[in-house]
Amino acid sequence: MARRSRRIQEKEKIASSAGEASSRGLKRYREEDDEEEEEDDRRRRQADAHKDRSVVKRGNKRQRMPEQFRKVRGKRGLLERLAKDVPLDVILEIFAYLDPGDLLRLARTSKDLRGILMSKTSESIWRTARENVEGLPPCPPDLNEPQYAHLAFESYCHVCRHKGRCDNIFWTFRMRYCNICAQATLPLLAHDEELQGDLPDDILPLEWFNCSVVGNHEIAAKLKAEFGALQTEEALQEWIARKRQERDELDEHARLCERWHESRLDKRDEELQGLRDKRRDAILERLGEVGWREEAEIIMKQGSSYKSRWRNLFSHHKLVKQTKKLTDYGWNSIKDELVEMLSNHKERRLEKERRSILLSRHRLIQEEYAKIQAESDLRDPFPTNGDILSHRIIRDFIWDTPIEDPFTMEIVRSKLSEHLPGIIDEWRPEKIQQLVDKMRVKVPTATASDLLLATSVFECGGCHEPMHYPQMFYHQCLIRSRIIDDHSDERMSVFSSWYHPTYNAHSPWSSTRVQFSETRSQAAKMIVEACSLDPTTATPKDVHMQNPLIECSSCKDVGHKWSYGRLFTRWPQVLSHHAISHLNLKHLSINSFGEDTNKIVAAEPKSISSETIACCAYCHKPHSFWNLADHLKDCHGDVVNGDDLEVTTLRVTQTHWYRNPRYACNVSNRWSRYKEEPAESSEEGASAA
Amino acid sequence: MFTLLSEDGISFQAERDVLERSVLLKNMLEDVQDSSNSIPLPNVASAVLEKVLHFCEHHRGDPLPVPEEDETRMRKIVIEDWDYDFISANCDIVFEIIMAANYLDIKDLLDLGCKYVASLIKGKSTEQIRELFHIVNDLTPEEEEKIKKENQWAEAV
Repeated sequence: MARRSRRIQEKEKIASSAGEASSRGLKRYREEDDEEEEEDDRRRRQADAHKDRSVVKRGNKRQRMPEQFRKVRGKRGLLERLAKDVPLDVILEIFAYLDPGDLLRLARTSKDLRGILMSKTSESIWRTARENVEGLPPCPPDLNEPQYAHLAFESYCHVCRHKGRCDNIFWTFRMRYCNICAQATLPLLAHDEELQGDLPDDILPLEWFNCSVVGNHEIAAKLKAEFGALQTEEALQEWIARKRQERDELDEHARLCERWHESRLDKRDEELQGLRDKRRDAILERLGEVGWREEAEIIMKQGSSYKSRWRNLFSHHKLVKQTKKLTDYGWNSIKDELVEMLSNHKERRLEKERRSILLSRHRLIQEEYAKIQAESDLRDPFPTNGDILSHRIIRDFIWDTPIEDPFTMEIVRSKLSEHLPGIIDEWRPEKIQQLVDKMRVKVPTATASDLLLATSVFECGGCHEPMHYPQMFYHQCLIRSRIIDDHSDERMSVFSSWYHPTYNAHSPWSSTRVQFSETRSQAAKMIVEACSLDPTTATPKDVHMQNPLIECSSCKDVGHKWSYGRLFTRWPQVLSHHAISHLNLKHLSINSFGEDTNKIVAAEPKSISSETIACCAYCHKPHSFWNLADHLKDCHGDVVNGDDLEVTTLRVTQTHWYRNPRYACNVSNRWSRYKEEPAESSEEGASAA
Repeated sequence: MFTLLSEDGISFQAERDVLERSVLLKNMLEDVQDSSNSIPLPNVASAVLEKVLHFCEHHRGDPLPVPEEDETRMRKIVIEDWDYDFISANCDIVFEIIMAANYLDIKDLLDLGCKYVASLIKGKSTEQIRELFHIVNDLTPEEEEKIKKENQWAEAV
């Protein structure tokens, strides 16, 4: 077959002279080899037959290589045929689709191809390839085409030659440097006086790196050598002018190259993204055929739980984010892994959604129960929301109602109104009995009715806060923080691991941490008796209505000037005295202050607590003394006598309200200091601590 | 119908508009009035001729490509889906197809072959090209290092 085709002969009329010259050059090179070619070819085939055994073996490891393609290359490589059999114009035609980087890499594959491509006569091939690259500035005069291709297209560091991608091109230095090599080898202009030396300004090429101006030692040395060799003033001036001109051209060329490079990187990013998008869409289509597209789209829409939306698990999956076109073969090799990933995701997602629905059901019940509780008489112990949520009926209601079924506030309300009375009736005697059992440790004859006495004082095992019945059923230490921890039940065990103790979630009530306080009960008995009440029948309310004034004589004159004075308090605050050893007759004085009484009472704090310590006796809503009178007047004016609403009367008599059992003994009354008049002064003095 | 005779003596029949995709055959058909005479194609093997005729059959009726007037135009590798499937399915005889297309002067088939081969090379590293085309690396490591550093015009290493 002719080395030049008929087709090219017809095209010669319109072919460029450059291309023609190149063809001639190549032809000459090839014709010289033609005579030896047949002989060489035979020899090479014999040698290759031996080598090809290993080649085929290596080829077999590459699974993506089509079988039929491997077959032909087993005998003779495709490019080897290109170099030997194909007419030159066809070779040129093939090379015309490559860029200089491709040519450079091709030229490094073997001596044959290097012989063709690195021949000076092939310059036009390089030029055509370069001109094929949109926006790439012409080859600068100080570089040949392969050198320029090396600079513009070989994307590794030219110093350390690490295989990783390096896009730091220092165009005026004609080098690529990775950050490490640039840092290590490029001198900073500001710190290296030797770099510039005696060279005139605007001659040494400089670059920006990490916000500093850097130079290149080799370039500087070369320029300094040229500069030092200048003999005459005229030669010097001519050299300076020429170098400045070259430097301007260098900078301008570098600027254009940089612009081209940036746009190439941007374009490449866009292309890669486009390819990734195409592959993703093709995968989505395939997933649609096997019923998994919807899950993939859910992932893309929602993003993953731990990554932002644009980095979702699907689009950034290692098998999806590739730029390779999806083929049937490729799809079959990734299908199982992707389907498994989506299947696992769906399982996790549905479980998460199920948990979320179950949690919302818990909260709905909790919310509705809180409303019921707020309108209930809490003087009889009332279960916590933890008691209700962990009750078998409610728990089954939450877990066994199908996930897709409606679970509205109305349904919850109806369920609670149906079952709550029964649950409470079942719960209350059991818990009261637990409390009686606690009391019996100290008072063996105690019964449930004894719990109601003013002399039955309990305390929290944690904070030692004194409590009367039924305050312990609402005491925060006993119901707070510990999430539902009924591990005997599988459902509640699972639930407790999800449930965060926020949203006013309480644990089921337990008597474990409640103790009967013998000391405080004795003190209470002493006070009851001092109020002329019967300790076997008097309730905390009875003592409150007596409103005894109590002094701890042992706590007089302690502390600093600001706490100087005698210490007074009222019932039931006295039970929370910090010094429990003072709760006896030796230390406490009750209603026995003679003519000082009025002065002491006058010195008591007059402020009213804003805490909602009073529950309306009619509607059970909690109020503070700031608005209790108004509430009674407005809402229950038909049953409340206006005279009863006078502040002092209202506070002392518990006719229209009762103490909110959610609050412990130490709220509402404060300890106060009564400062006695100094002997030398007639001025009355009283101050509240 | 006209009959083509391959290098290995196998006959193929094709209609005029199919054969006229080839400039060579078109010129020959102008001289051949009697379609009963076979047209010998001594440079094309039957396996290749079959593929070439398949390509021409598919593209019958397409406008014939005109020679490029601007040789310096930007060359981009864009291959239609059918053409890609055709050439990649026959990649084991791609050089035979290229040479047959060159001999028969079927420009679009020749372009397709060249684009396909170029696309195989494009963007690949030196090692990948060697591996893909089974090129035996006859450069020593020192030579390779030297080549990478210098990039000078060289007739030989």
